[in-house]
Amino acid sequence: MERVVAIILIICLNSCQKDEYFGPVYPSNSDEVSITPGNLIYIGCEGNFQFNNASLSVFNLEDETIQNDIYKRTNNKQLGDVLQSIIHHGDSLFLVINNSGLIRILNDSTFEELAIIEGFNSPRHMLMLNDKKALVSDFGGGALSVVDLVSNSITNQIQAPEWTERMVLIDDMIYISNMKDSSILIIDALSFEKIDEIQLSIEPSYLFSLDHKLVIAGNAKKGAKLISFVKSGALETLAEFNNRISGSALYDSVGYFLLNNTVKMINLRSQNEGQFSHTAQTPYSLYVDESGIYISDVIDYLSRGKVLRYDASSQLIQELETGLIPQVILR
Amino acid sequence: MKWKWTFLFTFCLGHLFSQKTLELRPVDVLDSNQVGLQSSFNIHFDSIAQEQINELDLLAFLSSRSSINFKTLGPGLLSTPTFRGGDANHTQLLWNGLKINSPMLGTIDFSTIPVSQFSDISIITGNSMNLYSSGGLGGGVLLEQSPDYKSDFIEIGQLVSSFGNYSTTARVNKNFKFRNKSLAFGLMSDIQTLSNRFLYQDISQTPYSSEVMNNASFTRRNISPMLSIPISKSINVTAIYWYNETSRSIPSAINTSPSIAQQEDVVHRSMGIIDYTPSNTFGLSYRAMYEDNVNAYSDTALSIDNSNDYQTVQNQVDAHIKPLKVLEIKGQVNHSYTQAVSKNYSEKKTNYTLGSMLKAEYSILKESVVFELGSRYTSFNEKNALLPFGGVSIKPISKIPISAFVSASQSARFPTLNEMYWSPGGNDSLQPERGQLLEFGLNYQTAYQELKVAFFNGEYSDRIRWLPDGGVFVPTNVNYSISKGIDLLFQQKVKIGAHRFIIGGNGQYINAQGGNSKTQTQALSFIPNYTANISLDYQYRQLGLRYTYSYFDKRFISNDESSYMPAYQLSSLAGKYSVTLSSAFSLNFTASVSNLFDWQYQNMPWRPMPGRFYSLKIALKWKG
Repeated sequence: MERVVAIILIICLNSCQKDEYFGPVYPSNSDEVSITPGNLIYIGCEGNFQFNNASLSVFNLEDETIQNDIYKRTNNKQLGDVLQSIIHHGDSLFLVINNSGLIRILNDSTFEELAIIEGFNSPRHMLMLNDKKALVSDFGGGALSVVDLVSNSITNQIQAPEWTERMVLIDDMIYISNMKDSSILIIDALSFEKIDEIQLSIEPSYLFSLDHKLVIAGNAKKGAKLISFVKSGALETLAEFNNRISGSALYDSVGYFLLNNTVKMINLRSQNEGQFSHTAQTPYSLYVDESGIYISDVIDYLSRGKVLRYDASSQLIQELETGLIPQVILR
Repeated sequence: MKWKWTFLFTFCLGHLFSQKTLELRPVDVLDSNQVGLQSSFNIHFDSIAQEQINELDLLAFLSSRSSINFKTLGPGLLSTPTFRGGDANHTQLLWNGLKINSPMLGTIDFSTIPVSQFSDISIITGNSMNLYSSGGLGGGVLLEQSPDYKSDFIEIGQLVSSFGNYSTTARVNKNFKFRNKSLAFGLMSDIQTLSNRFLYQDISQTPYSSEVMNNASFTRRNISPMLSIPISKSINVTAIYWYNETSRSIPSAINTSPSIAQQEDVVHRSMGIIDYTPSNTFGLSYRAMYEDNVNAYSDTALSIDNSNDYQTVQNQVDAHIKPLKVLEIKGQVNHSYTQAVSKNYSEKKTNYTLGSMLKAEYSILKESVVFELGSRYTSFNEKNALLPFGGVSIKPISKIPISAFVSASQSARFPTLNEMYWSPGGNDSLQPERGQLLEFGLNYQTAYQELKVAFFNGEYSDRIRWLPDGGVFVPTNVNYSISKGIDLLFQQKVKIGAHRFIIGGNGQYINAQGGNSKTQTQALSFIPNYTANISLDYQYRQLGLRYTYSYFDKRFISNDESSYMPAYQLSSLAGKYSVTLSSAFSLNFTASVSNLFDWQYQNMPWRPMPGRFYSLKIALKWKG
């Protein structure tokens, strides 16, 4: 009988867990964040859709170390659901959290949260128009949001296609990816009025500005293309790929294109081409600057990812373990 | 050590009591009806249609009584099974022997399936699954439904629950004569209206806050009339129609942007069965089913407005013949045709499946050794699989009802329509997933006691995973997995005077590993190492009490064993009291407290689950 009572008591006592955390447990380093400001590469990890496990990793180029889960360790809360993109502006990082419908503003060296901009539908990318104003693209909401960076609030909504993605500002004109219709929307940067819409034969996943021209990279039904667009409205195919690309970057006039096993490089001025093999299991995105060529590897989307760092001569110099689904890399 | 003796004593005591004559009417009956192979671990629940079942759906019924684990997004929301380490589409759901898993998804949502409609529910493992269908790499659940020629009853019940949840049920079984023929008519229906406005704790940031669940309403309308006619002494014809409509609002996960998502499913299923049983040694059965399934999903925030519709026709002939007392042969031929449309298919898609099965059962030494051997052949859109299976069960001592068994099988799951034709990404050159399962164990069963234990080892190759290919996900035969474990089931019935007790339960230990190759595996996500259910039933005259306890171990939610959901345990207490109004009428009251200790938990990440809640059901029953 005593045993029965004891078992019942154990069950009852076990049940008293109301103040305990009972949600998903993500691996986290509990150490205090200690990063020397300066030469930092920021890696935004998307996390799994609806798992609320997006994270921020920071790679220090000085001591070549990476620290993960920086946001949670600094601010003691989850970053949110699906970190889509990051903008580094001034001494602030703007983290666009897609499925949380918000943008978190952090100090770029202490990583303390400075403000949150809320009220988005499903924000994708942010374009700084000046120090006081930014534009945010959206999936599904049919609008672009104008954000006031002083009050950190949405001040205006501009009617737009259902799915807008990356944006580039060239000579007071904003070029916006219209992913649903595979076109480029052009609007005036001051009045936000639509100027034109250019139909493409590819998904305009990546937009770059080169010599006042818009350069577009994206996948077609089969393979991928690189297209340039000038104000006159002329489209020129600069390159075609047999396979689809999963990432693209432009650095020092060279376009980089991430394919399953290789990175292709095309100098957009000289047309010189090159390529090298990479070892990423599931390549997902690409970033290039003078510190190296960074390829994110999301493994199987359900394991902690990696960022592979190659030097300018295409030699692998480092494998960095990150959070889940490293997606955006920037400096 | 003391515990071992206590267990042994209890067992012996039960055996002693079992010598007496007792007529126990438990809430659940585990009986000796044979389903599946004798040489595998199967569970059978019978007489469900005549019982007061508290659970409103198959998810709740099975998760408190079996080792089938469910991933559920919340009450009334998507709930899919995982059985012995398999994917959701490795558990096949069969209605009167015909598969009702969606051919587009390969799965079925168990929260949309009622319980009280069925007379019998069985859970069978992968080795037995080849007797019925292909695709059950983990196993299957068999739902049996037919009118009862032996009883007449009408029951109308109303359930009122916390959070603004209501359920109305009506069940009828009536035998009558028409032009000198005996007919059995049945009608099973229920309407569920769940508001699901329960309190939950938002633990996404400290301090935690209490919130009320919004946008989680669920409505299910389910009705199934059926009619059985014995045309002659040896021929019986049954017609069943099943209308199942669900409408649900889908709330967002905690800490995500609120969306306005809605799902509407409407399913019509019609089945005809002709049984020809001229003798005990020969029987033939033909069954045909037509299913029209419309699944509409919309999310205004994400501009999603899709409808996935399919129609399926299935035909099946089963035969059994017993040419010798020691030999029985069973055979089956089935055919199914499906056509499906979706905004994500380039055009209307169709598939054909042709299957056959032959199995022989041979016993020696006065049935103390039984051999079972068979094979299933399936042809699906010009891809084929030959799937042998078999086993041996040995009862070494005739006076003691204990038997040892061992069985093995090969199984296959053919790709779904979505895996083949989804645009973008569909891959119509996919090969079937393959499985090899071995299980062995012991089975002890009397009228009052039951103990089953089985060790299993399943290896699965060519598992289909959606892998990225330049920004588009493409299903690919890439994955390997292995599941090893132990399944346990026990039940002990005891009668002391007018007091009747049943203690029962089940448990499972599983080590499920998976990866891209045999040498690189890690724990499969969402599969707990340990699960257990224990129930205690007490009955005294018109009063019945039932306590259940369930334990659900921690499970990884990432493939690198880094992130996990914590373990949780749930208890519930239900009381039932019957008032006899007259010789024909009775009134049954059922009151229950679910999640008795108000355990705060999430089954899936950031998906709130209800704490303690109360239900009261009143049912008026006429029994002829």
